[in-house]
Amino acid sequence: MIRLIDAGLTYRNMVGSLRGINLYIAKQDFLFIVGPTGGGKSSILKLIYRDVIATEGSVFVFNKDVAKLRSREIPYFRRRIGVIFQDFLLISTKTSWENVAFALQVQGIGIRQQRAIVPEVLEMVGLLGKFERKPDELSGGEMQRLCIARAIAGKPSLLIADEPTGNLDPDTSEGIMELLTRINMRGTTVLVATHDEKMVDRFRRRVVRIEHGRIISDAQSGTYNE
Amino acid sequence: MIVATYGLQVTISLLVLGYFLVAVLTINRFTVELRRMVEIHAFLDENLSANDYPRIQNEIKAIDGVVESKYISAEQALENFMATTKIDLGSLLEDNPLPDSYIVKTESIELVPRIAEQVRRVQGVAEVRFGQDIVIKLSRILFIVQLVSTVTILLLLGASFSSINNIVRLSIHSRRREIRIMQLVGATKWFIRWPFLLEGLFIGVLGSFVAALLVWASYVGLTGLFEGMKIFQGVFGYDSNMIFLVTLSLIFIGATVGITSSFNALSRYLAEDERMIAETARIRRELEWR
Repeated sequence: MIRLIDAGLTYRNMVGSLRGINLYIAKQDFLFIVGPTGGGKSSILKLIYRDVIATEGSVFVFNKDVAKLRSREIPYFRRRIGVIFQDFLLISTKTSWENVAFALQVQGIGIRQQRAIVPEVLEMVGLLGKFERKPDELSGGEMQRLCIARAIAGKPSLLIADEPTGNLDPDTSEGIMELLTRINMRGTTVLVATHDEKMVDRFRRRVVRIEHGRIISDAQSGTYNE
Repeated sequence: MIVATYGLQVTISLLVLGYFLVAVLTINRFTVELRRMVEIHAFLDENLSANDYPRIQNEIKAIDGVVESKYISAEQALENFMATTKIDLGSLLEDNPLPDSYIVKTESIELVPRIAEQVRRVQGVAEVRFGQDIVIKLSRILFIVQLVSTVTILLLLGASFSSINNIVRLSIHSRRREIRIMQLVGATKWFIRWPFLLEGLFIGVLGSFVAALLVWASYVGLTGLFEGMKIFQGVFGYDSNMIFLVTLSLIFIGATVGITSSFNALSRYLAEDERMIAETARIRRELEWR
């Protein structure tokens, strides 16, 4: 589903972020990308959802070279990927319901379908009872759940989470990880960039460790430091 | 709240432009009036035969740039003089000292000296008067006034464009988070553009409509002050055509600037992908070269 072949990323000031990344991620895989802050975790995710383009090598997602995607193809490419951020990126003036519905509206999904999908995903993340609340009326964990609901509403085949538990307490973090696991079990490929050691060790999934822009290890059912 | 604040700023920008437009158009009317008032007086020889009058009339009318040529007999001229001065000269004078004359109107004030010279050469015309110095000075002044007005309007138009452009840009910048979210969840460029274009149009039209309303109200109030003063009616009287033109211009400018500013400001955000592709290509080339 995802292939990175000798992928590298160098910024405009010619400072390198990633070098020689070779990675294969199969359909329905659940992958932790771990490593210290600034090591290149987020850069790999950005390469995959085409927020940046590899300056070396190639990145294939859904069997397409993302560097060759035309500008007008990007929106349709992104609709197949759900993205979750540490800082949530929710619209503060919209309610929980509206935040999720907005993502569907953007994808051209009609109101009737929105009315069917929104309660379904809000229930899945445990926020159906708070559908009228705006983001600032939710706790950190609830905001992250809302972010997940928005990301999965369009039924993407790939879900990318960048530090989804970064600002959350351990109990809430565990709830979020369990939710991501459930989503993975439904058939969605899930990539999680994190430096939450306990969480990675507890869930025992495939772990790719990145340091200084290079892959140091890639272990099935691995731990954070393995 | 944001729309109200930006709408107010658009109103202020267009209000200044609107007032100036009214002022310039009023000055234009004034200059048209002045131009209309400038005429050539061609005084005729005393011993002309009856056949000479139609000939002189025809020769004057044949001159290029002459709009109208009106015969004023010596008697009529005296009557006009007495009516204007309120002095009964009939009891004081034995003979009428005024000659027969033609009053000639021209297409424009600039043509007056040339046409006056041609009228002077017509056989039977004894003397020509048109206030040479005044006409030449006036045409120069009017040219400068119109030049300054045009330049000022263009500058104000540019300032209004720039001001509204900045307002819309700020509005879009304050919502860059929303734009980013839309991009990440797969919105097409036009899906992102439409609401901002409509908002730009709405702010532009709303702001210009309020500005037009205020300009109109001020204009009605000011022209009301000159009501009943016949001498000012031609220039400062209420002119519905002019105020309609100003209103339409303001709304058109507001709408156009609102839409184009939104489009331009958004294009900067939406062209990010093209910039990144170009930048990546440049870095790739540089890395390969190394």
